[in-house]
Amino acid sequence: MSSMSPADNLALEKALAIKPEEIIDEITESGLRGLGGAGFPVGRKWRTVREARSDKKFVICNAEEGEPGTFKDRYLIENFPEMVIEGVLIAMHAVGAKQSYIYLRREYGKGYESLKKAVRGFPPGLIKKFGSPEVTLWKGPGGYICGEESALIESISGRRAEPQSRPPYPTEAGLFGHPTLINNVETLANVPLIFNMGAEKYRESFKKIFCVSGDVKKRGIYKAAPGVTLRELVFNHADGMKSAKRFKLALVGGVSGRVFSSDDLDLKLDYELFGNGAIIVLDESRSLRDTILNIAEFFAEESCGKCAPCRQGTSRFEAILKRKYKNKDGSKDMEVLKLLSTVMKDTSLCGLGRTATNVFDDIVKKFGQEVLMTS
Amino acid sequence: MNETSTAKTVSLTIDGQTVRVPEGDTILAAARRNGVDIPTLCFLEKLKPIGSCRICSVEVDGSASPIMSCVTPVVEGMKVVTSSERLSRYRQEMMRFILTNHPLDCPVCERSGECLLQNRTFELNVTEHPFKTIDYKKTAVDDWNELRYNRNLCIFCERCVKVCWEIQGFGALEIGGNGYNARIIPTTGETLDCDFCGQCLAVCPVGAISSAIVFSARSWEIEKVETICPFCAVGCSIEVNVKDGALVRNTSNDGIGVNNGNLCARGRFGHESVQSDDRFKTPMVRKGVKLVETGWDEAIGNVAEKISEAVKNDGPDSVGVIVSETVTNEDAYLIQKIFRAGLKSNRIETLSNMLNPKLNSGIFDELGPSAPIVPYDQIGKAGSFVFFGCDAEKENPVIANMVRVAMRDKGTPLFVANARNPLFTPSARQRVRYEYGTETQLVAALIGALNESGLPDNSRADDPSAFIKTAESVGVSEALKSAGVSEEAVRRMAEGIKTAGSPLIFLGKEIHDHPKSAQITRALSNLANLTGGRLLLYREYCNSQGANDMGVGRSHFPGYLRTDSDQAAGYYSAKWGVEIPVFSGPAPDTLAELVAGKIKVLIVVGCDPITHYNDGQFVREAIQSAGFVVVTGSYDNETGVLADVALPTTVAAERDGSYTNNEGRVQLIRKAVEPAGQSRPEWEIFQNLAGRLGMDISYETCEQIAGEIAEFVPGYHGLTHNRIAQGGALVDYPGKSSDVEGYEFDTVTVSSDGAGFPFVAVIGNSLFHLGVASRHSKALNRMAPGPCLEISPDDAAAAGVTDGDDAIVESVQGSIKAKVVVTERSSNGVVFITKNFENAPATHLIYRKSPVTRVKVSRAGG
Ligand code: SF4
Ligand code: SF4
Ligand code: SF4
Ligand code: SF4
Ligand code: FES
Repeated sequence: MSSMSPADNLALEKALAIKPEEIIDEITESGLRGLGGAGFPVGRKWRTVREARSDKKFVICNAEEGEPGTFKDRYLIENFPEMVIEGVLIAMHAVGAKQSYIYLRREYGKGYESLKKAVRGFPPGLIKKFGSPEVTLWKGPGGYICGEESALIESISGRRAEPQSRPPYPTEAGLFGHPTLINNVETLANVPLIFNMGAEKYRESFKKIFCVSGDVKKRGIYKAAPGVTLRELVFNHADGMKSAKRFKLALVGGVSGRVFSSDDLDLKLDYELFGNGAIIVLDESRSLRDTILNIAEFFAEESCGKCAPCRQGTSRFEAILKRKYKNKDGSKDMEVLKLLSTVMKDTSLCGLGRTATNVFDDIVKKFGQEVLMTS
Repeated sequence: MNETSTAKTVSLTIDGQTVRVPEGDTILAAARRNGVDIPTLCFLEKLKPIGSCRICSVEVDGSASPIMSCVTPVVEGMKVVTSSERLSRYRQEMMRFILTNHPLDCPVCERSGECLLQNRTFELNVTEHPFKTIDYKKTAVDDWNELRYNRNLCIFCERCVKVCWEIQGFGALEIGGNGYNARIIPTTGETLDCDFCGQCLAVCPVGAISSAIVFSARSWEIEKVETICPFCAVGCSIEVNVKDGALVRNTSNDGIGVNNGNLCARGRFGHESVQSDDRFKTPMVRKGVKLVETGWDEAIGNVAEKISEAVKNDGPDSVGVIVSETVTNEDAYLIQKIFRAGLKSNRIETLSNMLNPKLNSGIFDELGPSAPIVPYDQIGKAGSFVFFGCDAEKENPVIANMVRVAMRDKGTPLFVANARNPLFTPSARQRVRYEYGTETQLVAALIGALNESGLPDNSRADDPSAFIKTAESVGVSEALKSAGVSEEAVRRMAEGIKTAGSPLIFLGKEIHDHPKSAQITRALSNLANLTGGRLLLYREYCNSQGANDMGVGRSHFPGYLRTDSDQAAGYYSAKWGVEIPVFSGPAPDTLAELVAGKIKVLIVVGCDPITHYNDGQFVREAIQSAGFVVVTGSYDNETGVLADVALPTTVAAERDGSYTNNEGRVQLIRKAVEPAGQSRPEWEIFQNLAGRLGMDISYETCEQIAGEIAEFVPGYHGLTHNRIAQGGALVDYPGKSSDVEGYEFDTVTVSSDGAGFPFVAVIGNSLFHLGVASRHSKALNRMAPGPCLEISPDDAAAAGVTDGDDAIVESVQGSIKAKVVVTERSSNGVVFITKNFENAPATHLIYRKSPVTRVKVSRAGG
């Protein structure tokens, strides 16, 4: 990561030297895509906000990292706060925003301090050249749902963090009704790199951050180019399984992501597959049913309760999974769970409800229906 | 310009049928527009789509999962299918989800029969669900002061949360807790401490929110009578709910009236006043020192006798009447007719006309064609709002709701100028605070700034010089010295108003009661005309406008024909078939005449001047000087104590008639319950009196009087009860807003000597009380048991009072006790005191000879 050091604010100087439209061209050219999980082309998003007509615009850096198994944003803001802020400043300049928020997970006290220090560390003259933009550090009330873009916007507006229906998209009517650009920490931290090395070089050398956790020897942050396989991440970067037990599965993209079994170890992880880059590895000693139940409990707890399918579905899911089966016959319940899963996926308002049963679906598909009956 | 013809449209297919709808329609709106129904549960027309129930799903070509029709806008070429096997399955599934924790308490639920959930369950044919209810921690119903919340009945549609935020601007409710443990909680602390408008109760599709006023009737036992709220000038439609002849509650209905289902606390919870134990029910006459009960015959006979005697001895002008602005148009018309045509007396007044004739019966003389009576639909069309000396949120709560909706849907900016700092949500684009008394200076400066930067295109002034004359003679910076407003702020506001275009300027009660109200209004009228805007005048009571329209006031006959004009006298002589004299110019005021002993018989109709008019002690003495006092009303009051004859009158829910509201809309009030005791509507009482006096004035019904109004009164032509039965009708006031003139106004500031009395007192209404009747509702008295003194933190510290203290508020004229509310709403040097409390009337602080009321404040018992 040392190449990321921006001590001389080179990226800022470079971005300042060109027109906002050219910044956006450069970003588009770099091929940067959202690294928070959605993978949306960043240049296109910036352009939408740039072109939106409004007397006020906002940039929000999403550092509400609530997904279990992800800790990359924390890593970045604690170690490279200047890069995050440079990214924010360039984004503001590019889209024409005078105000921005860095929305921090409540638990990230240390990150808050380092960001605060970094904000103060910028040379005032340079900041002035940017038109003295306002960067506000904002501590969220806590909770998984605060990471959802529209919920996060509600939260800054002083209301309960609750997802909103789209359209309108935040890029059209976001914070206080104004066009708003929201990017994840990792995405914005990549922006200065683009200006440091130039779009083309950047595109060739781009590396995504993966957070590997669970039953591996060396849990941690690993950088790898898209297209890396799970095998490389688990067995090379993380040095293999923790004990002698065999690899059973990995949750790629965290608890709302997809399940990779040993058959999938050689699939290439690109934007469509790696999600936010969280890889939770489980060995053969883990109970599938417990895995599903833990995740169900998590979502029942984190569902904001706004929409019927998710509010009722998540808790229903949890309740059914908690049942004890004396005669090991859960087939009727399995039918209900499958129905719940389909309905939740198809009708929930936001990503939480739509992905809460991903892991369940995949496990049933890959490991068979019996999961419910086994211990 | 025809809006629909220029708006863009989109074409799409719904269930195979190709339709063309306005751009911006949601799929649901497009479907309903074309007669296709999609079931909904959380959706409510007046709120932004919520999207919580997920019932309204449809299939859209190209989307793997169903789309929620209520939140999704149409796009060109979209193919929508509104019913399919998958959709019915999903909709049923949603219903099962929602019903999971909704116990089947229908038989004991007060919403049963009018519950949307019940209806949808039936329509979607949901008969069973596979989930057993997880026992939600069975807590008792939450006590929210005036409301009750039952978590077990709540289906989390979130309408309550949204209505409180979007329409009421309070944000008092939110979802607390997550997922299955969610519940609706107040944001105001332990319990609910809010406007108690009951908007949340009204929009709740089930029985989860209920009123604290226990209500023991089932929906099918109730008859709903559509009528008009009698508590203020907004003129909201309400439904009076009657069971077995008893009024059990008021409800609102989004489909009727001007208010789109919104009400304030008074309209929704003030109904106990109708069946209050305090109702005055039997005619009384004074026998010696005591008032004793009697029959109508004796009472009216007595009054007729005294009137005849006075007329015989001292002439017609020795009989006077003060009429409440809460009587109906028909009452008002009849009373003035009896006086003018029968007695030939012009001694007829309302309290507002006694105080401020120029903004009441004289408004058209004062401002002619641009008199500020503006239809509410202008609120949706305005380019910007200017609240001038106006606290819309408190004064005209439901107009404030309309303003909020315009701000939400159209982004209309709001500008506020006030001597205090009244709040409004959503917040204003700009607020300026001026020194009380410098209003015309500020307006002059605004006009000056506008003139300097160039008038907007939609200015109505062909030749602006007349509008600007005064402003120019003052100069922007000069004007601002005393106002205490920065030049930059004034220029910014002028520019803001100009850019947004067509301001709708709201005058508040502070201006209505201001010593220079007429000058300020003229000044603002110039501002409005220069910027293509309009003024919306403040009216206080449910028929303030109508009472003026009906000629209750010495200067005008009904329809604003001047009483000193030959022509007008001729007009009514011809219509009424008797010789009407030309009443010479405005006579000295009623109180002065009383004190001078010129009025021998005084009739007070429906109001309590001692409590509600300035300087109550003086009023008391004045009334005592009349030889014979007749008081009519629905409750005992201070003025009633002085009565020689006291006559019980019905309240609005007990009679028919019409009111004319703030926007000049005549609306029908309907009888819902039988009159309490022997009470009668005013027109009946006066009809009876006319008979006893041998006058040739006779009507069988109230409707008949309305018929005559519709025939004779300019502006009211054709407005019979039949005609106004549905939605009312706007009065056609004289003049067209296109021919406007500039008014001269003076920029003399009002100053007052602060020695010993450091604070200027602004006296007004609270959300919970207005006039006489609200004090007889237990619920409203719980919400506001007595007067409040709003004072700024600095001033409170200086006066040695803290929030919640009882304070003594003292002026040169009198003193009252009030509860201290320390708030930023008050600015330094200006306190606000709520009136309408007969036990502590703030009006008693007003000294009629000093233009500005100043007070000092100290801690009671301290
Ligand atoms: S899907 Fe879940 S988290 Fe998202 S809005 Fe609905 S209840 Fe809230
Ligand atoms: S009564 Fe009115 S102010 Fe109070 S919570 Fe309900 S909607 Fe909000
Ligand atoms: S209280 Fe009523 S309006 Fe509010 S969420 Fe519950 S059911 Fe909906
Ligand atoms: S008091 Fe006025 S605002 Fe309130 S409900 Fe009645 S008419 Fe409407
Ligand atoms: S009506 Fe559309 S989601 Fe409830």
